[in-house]
Amino acid sequence: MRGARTERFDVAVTGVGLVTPAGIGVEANVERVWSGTPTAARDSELEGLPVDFGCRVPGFDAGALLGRRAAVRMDPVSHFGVVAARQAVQDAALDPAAWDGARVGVVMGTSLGGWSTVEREHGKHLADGPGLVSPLLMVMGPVNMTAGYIAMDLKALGPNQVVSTACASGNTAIGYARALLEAGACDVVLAGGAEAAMSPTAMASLARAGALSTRSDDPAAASRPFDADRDGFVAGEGAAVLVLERVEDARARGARVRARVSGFGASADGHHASAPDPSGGGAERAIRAALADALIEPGEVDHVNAHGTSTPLNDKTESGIVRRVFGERPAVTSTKGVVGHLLGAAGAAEAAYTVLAVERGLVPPTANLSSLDAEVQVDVVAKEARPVRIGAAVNNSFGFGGQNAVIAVTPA
Amino acid sequence: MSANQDRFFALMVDKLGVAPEELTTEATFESLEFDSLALIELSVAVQKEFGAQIDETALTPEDTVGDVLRTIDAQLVTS
Repeated sequence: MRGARTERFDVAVTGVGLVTPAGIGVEANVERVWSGTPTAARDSELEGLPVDFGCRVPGFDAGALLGRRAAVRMDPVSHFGVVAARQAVQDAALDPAAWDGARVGVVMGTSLGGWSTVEREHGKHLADGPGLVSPLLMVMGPVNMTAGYIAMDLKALGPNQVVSTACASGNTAIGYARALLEAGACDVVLAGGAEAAMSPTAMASLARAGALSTRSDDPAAASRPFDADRDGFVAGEGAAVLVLERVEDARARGARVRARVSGFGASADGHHASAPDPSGGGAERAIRAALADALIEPGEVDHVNAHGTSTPLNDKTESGIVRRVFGERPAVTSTKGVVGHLLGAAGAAEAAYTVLAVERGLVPPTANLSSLDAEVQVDVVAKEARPVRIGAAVNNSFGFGGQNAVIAVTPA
Repeated sequence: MSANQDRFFALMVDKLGVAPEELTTEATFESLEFDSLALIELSVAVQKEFGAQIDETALTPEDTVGDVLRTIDAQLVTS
């Protein structure tokens, strides 16, 4: 087959930055996600909406972290993205003051970008007229700005882009970042995703679409992937960034390699705006493409970080695909039980969790999974983290619009 | 001191992100590193908070915080 790989191309993950409902930084995330402690809670900003709970980043003070002058000109999506990028660079022991910025790229995924700023300014426009619309809307709202602000903050001056494939955006970003490294266009790429779209209109629309859990009486139990009583996803916010480098470059500078990204596969369902193709054809093609790209056989995969949204349809369809491709072997988890669904940042956060699972040899549990859906016939890790020697892992992300992106992760 | 100074300074801190210790009536917008977007944002914020019109096309980096405060004072007195 033309274009089929004969030699694997690995990129080293040398740094991880996480700003999620589980906390700010790798340590806080490991503690919360690996203990399987849910983060969903009632949210004062969502009061009066059909769904009034979600997963917020706790204790995030943009002014303190970024300086108030910079913070007032960014939407929260960029606050999260820039802070996660800074953390990732620090985790990789790279020094932006010393690096050749032109060789450092940024590829970020987001679905809705600076949506909350757009929503707020639109409200002002309707209420007070065009004279009171902020000129900053145009540097806060557009989806590209998170990558732009990361470049400004860290002097990452190479190729700079945002990709948007809904809930698959984070994985798509990592896939394209790897391609930039393989092509030699960059020596370092900061790749990930950011989202901050828990604003009233976006949440109202998701609720009206029937996508969200309505378990208002017990928000902490609402995100329960693969559980028989699941009734929808719980929205979250945050960002995750990975520092990616060619393996030989990482070795040459003596960097600690947490894991490797060894394959990427993408596809479209071409089926429906929001529902997964019930045959699972598109998602399966993305998974098989990622495996082929990594020269990995399905039987070598020990761990799957599932898209696992906690919607009735996704979890049923996805578990069927996982069973069909991998059989019963891999330890499957959905970290959305803890952090909710970070939309355009979900793939990136879950890629980071997959990297950490491979590095630690420990698969985090699926929170709130007390009664496995009888139709889910895969080995889902529940209750507590499970030690697994992971030779290869896969992170699935499937988006509205039928966009699918999957990465394969292997040990350092 | 202008009766509106406290409110105007609070707006400069909350909406424009200026550090309180940098804020004096003598400070120029250049010294506060305001670019053209920040100057327009300032005029929008002042209109919202005080109902006072600041002509953003006439506002320059050499103007001071006190200049804007005097414009606000004058408009609030005449209105």
